[in-house]
Amino acid sequence: MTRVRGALVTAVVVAFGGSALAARPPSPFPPTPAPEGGGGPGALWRAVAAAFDAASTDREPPPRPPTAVPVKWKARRIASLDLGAPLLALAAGDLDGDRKAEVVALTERHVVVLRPAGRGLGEVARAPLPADPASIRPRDAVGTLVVAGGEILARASTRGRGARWALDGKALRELGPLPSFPLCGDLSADLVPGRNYFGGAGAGDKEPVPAFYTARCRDGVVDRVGRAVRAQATVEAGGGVAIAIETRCGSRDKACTPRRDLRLEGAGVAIELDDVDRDGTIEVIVSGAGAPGDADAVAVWSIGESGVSKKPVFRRGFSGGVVGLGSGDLDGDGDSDVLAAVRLAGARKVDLWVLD
Amino acid sequence: MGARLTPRRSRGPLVVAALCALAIAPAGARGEGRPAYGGAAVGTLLGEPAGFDPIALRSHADAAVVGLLFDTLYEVGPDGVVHPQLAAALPEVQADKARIALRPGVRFHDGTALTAVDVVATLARVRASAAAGWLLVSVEDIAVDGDDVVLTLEAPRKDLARILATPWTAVTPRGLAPKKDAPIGSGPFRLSARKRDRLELEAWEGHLAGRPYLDRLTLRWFVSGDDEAQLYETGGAHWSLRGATRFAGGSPKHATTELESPATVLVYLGFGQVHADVLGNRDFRAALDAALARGGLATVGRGERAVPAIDPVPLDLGGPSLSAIAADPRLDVAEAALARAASKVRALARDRIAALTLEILVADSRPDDREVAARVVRALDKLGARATITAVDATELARRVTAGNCDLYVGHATAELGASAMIYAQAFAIAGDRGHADKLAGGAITGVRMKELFAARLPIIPLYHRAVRVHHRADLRGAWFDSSARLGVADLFVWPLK
Repeated sequence: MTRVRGALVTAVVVAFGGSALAARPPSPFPPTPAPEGGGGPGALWRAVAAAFDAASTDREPPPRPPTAVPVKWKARRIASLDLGAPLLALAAGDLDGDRKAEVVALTERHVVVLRPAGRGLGEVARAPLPADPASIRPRDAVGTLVVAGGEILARASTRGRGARWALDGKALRELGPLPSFPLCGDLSADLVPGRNYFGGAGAGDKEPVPAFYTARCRDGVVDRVGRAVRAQATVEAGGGVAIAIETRCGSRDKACTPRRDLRLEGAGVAIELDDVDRDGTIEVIVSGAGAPGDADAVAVWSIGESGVSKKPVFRRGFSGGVVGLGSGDLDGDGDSDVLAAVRLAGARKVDLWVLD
Repeated sequence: MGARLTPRRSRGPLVVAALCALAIAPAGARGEGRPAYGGAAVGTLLGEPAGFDPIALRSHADAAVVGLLFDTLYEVGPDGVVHPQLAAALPEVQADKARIALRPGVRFHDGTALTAVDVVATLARVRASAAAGWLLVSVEDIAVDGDDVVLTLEAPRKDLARILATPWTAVTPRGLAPKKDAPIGSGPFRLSARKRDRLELEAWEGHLAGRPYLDRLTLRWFVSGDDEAQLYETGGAHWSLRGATRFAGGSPKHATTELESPATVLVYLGFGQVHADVLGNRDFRAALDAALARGGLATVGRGERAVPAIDPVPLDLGGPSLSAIAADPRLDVAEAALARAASKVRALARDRIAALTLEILVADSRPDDREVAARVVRALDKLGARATITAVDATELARRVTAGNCDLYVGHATAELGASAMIYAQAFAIAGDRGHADKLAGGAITGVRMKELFAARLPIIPLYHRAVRVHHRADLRGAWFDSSARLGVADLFVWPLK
């Protein structure tokens, strides 16, 4: 697994296993690193780091609770699109800085940017995927797509590499190559050669990475009391979803739990995370775990203080398969709009639904 | 398994407000469940394969097995569209040159790299072969250029990629004929054993189009018409091509799903050389053609769609439908044709034809062919000739047919190329008439002249086009047929029923 930061791909191998999780620092925002040793310069570095952290603690701003935006869950179809090739992934995010999210679709051939137009969606820009042929690809095409920091990061298994794009007016401009499959803004992974899942035997003394289908992250949300939260959901090859909620705890906030690990069973590969109604609780939106070609459903689960809700807060069945889920504020009204792409298995045509 | 976050670079609490303000919307997912890997399946072929050599394939079973063991430059997907397979892209045609870049990193089952040298040697062997050379009649030269393959063409061909997707052009190491019981290809499965009534295959991890979902696959064939359905009914097989139960009204042990291909497999009557004077006479062929009761062929088989035909082009690919007149024996036409034949061939004279006994060869692993042969016997009887039916194994059938050591045989041909001209060319190639096959494949004979030529020569006698109907366990998913009625075995996967 590699860390993606802009055009740089830093080879940081990260274990995805539960044991590795338990060994991790309790917070995603740890103190400034201050390694032992190093003689005089090392001691000076540690002293500076300690002073920096102390100063930061003193200037820690008070948490600002979020302002909830009431959301009514109701599915409505907003578009029926022929994307020219089977859809692999869906995402939403602001690409042009207007505080409204664009919808991005990754197909076996293209990256397509869509935007609300009239009562539906209209195509804004389209770029072909890199022409590099994939040497060994999985039998079922797999793709991952991330919209982060105003960029699109995408790779499909039909091609030998991925790429980063920026929306430049009505065109997509390629910013650079991506050797791996982007999963989150700072996470990527490689498929096991010839197979439809990620993972690996582990190189050298690295732990083997258990098989997983995809992972998705959500940054930039706050909990009920205003603490920064980061969430990640990993869809395991066995059908379960491992959810990690990491909270930025203030140094004086003793009641804060820096990390919670939760599970959800019976979910499909399409997944999204967001605080849709800005109430400080993360919603996990998942497709069903049925076979390809079977009828499908989208379920929305809320993650509160006590864990995953016992019942979904919303569920909607579809006669087709849910091939992609995305969430973003399409209309700029403050809450997120959850999108589901539904199709008959393998079809180029998809129906796009807004669920709230 | 838990998910581990890769932390962003620590910036300390000062950046909390900035983090809160960030409106990053990460995303990335794909739905619809993904097939899992593992498991084994027992399935069946439409008869015993005669061998593994791509250029010698003569039946649906041969084509099915070649497609599992070998790869071609291109493939026809479930959508009917030609996609690059060993090739990295569609041919790049400039003037009379077609350049084909190869996909990097492809390996044969023995681990050796598949290179342009293998492709060129394979295509050169195809072009030089008597049986399949017609496919590349428009190719003047085949050469390696770096990592690419360059074909020099007589004229640009729109169907070049489609031709290079046919199983005859499957790539073998250095273009050599595969070993009889140890073929090495680059296809999704590799052969682990060939036994008397089955092939045992293993998934090839390094297949360029992805490892098959199943770990192991056993492909069987049967001499008895009911054994296949019985094996499936009792849980011994994951699919059957001859029904789900041995007896009507029965029910299989497992929940079953049914799928049927287009009716594009041509069942035909081919001719050998033993009584060359009789069977080489076009009027006698016409007499036999007219004496056949084709309408009854619609009931041959185990319920799959069978479309009686007088033309090699399947109805499902735009071929003509059988007229009501042609469905029944046309004895007046037959007698007139026989009279013309008898004027040239003494053995067909009225006072001699009763002494004529013809042998009809059938594959013993295609039970329906015996029923078809019985109908041919009745047609010959109407002409006054006698016939016997001899069932032999597929290898023996292929050997005798190739050597011309038979009178008549019931053959199967898959429609690998959708264009009518290429299907007519294939019919002439089956009969060993390379001259006409080349003219048809090269575009020298087109339109209505193709039909007239076929009707005049009758290189083979089309009997019917059949579909392939598969009954498979409901927990075996991913089944699909291509336009040649071959099952997409590499895409099958097990999805347990709840």
